[in-house]
Amino acid sequence: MTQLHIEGAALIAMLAAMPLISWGSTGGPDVATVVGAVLLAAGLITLTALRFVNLEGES
Amino acid sequence: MSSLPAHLHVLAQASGETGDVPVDFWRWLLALSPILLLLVLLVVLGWGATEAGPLAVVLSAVAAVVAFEAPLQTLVVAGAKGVWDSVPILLVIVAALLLYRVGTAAGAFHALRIGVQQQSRNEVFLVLGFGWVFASFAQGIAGFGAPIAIVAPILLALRVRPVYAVVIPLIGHAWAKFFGTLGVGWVATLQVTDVEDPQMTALLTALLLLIPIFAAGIAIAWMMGRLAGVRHALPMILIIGTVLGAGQIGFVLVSPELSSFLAATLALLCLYPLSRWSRYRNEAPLDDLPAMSAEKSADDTEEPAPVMGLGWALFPYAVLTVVSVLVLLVEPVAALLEQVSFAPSFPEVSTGFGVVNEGMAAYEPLTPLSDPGGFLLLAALVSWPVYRARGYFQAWRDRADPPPILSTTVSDSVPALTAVVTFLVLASVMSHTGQTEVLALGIAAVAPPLVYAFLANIIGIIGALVTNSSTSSNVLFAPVHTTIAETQGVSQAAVLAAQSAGGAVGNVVAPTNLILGTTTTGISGQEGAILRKTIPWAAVVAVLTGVATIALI
Repeated sequence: MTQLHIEGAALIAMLAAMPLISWGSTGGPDVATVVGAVLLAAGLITLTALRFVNLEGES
Repeated sequence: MSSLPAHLHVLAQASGETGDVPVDFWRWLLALSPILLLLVLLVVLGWGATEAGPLAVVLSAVAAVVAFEAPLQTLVVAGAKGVWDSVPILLVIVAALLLYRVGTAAGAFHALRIGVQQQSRNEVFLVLGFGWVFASFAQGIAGFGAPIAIVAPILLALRVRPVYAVVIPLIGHAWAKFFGTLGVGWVATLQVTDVEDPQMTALLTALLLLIPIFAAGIAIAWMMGRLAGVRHALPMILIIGTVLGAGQIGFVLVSPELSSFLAATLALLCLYPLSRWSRYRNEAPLDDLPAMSAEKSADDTEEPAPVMGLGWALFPYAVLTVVSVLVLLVEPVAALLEQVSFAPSFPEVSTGFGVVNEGMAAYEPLTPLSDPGGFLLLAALVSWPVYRARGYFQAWRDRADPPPILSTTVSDSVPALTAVVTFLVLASVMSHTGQTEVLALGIAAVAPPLVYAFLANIIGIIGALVTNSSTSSNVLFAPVHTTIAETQGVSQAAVLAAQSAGGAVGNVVAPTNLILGTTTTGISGQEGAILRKTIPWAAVVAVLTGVATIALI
């Protein structure tokens, strides 16, 4: 898996978080907000961690 | 006049209360810390934006919880809003890269360089023409960083070094940020605060914007050929600068919303007679052109003939201009296209200090068909089959080896998109938790009236740096300035003008603009190198604007 793939996955996680948080916080189930928050945090943490690991396929 | 999506953006951000956050030195320093961290990581340590952005978000979130009494729900909603805020910019990035790759695969940029050099072989004239005048024109009709994404690849085609290809349009179009895109920054200011004398405020703003107009022309000429470059470009700088500056001052009295667009259009028309002048038709008599790529005339004689004429090379930009002007100026067309609209809902969130962000059933509606990203995408999708039908892709493949369009667009986009999302999450977290207001109030609290007047434009710059938008800078800080101007007894018109000019200038250090430029010129990760050139320019302009503001109050 290259850096580009991981960055892409982090991006998708952050984009997917938005509708889940919107839905969960405006009448939807709380679990949607929780999953959205976890996805958003995971995306940010993954991007930060990428600085400190060496992967092939520099993006 | 059509209502703009950006207006809705303004209204969305304006809704809420700034609360009662204690403004002390430590809170001010904590609010500043994510920005300081970003600058250190980007400029000093040379990290890329994708790496620096997430760390700044984490620091901002920790500061929000520790010192700004932000509950977790507020952070989560702010983060989600930040992701949504980034979507229009993501569209611009993907569409601009697609347009760039279509042009590259068809040999359009090669043809563009050959074509414009037949009109003028003067590099200083061409770079000022595209990087200053055309970028300003593009800002008159588009926003969200589109002028940088459009002009930087063109400058690259003219053999400007990549870092300069980003820096030049960044500073070249900054002045047009406030009254550009149908005056969205101006309209926003009128919406969020009670402007006592709108005409005087608009006039003073246009006067202060003379500084970045001329500073841009001089700086670009300096980058091209140092002092000799400035001397050579001086007549052009004076003519174009006067048309842009005096044009905007004149038009702002009649229609602030159209003033940048009309002034930039006039300046664009002035380029033709200037290109007929032998001074700017022939090569610039300069020994050294530090902003230009070294490999020049050596391979000029050996390079392949263009596959298309200048007209076809400019075809995507003609499509872009026609569509943009049509949508922005013809209300029925805009109204029709704005029918396609998406918007998420968000609840009201607040902090322990009473910073309230109201709930919204439709937060910042995205209207992709009438946004700059949509215009760029249309230009790319129209040009692609047209170039294919005329056989340009095949003809250029026979002479060069261009990379594939779609896969390269995707691989170029991903790092830029992640960085933009993180920066807008950062902006949203800071504004939802009162950190951005504390930054401005902290400066005003310790500054006597004259110092405050001097610093007013720097508050605007900080706003644009934090929010990546001159409009959002004014939305956040114009009401703050109104309050401070009243308590300190200084002219509201002058400080609002300084804030607006600062917000426009701040775009040269706004992270998302840097990313747009580095991505479309293939130097992702070199945002720090761009900042090392734009920060000194912004500092000089800020000092001059501060001095001018003191004279105006």
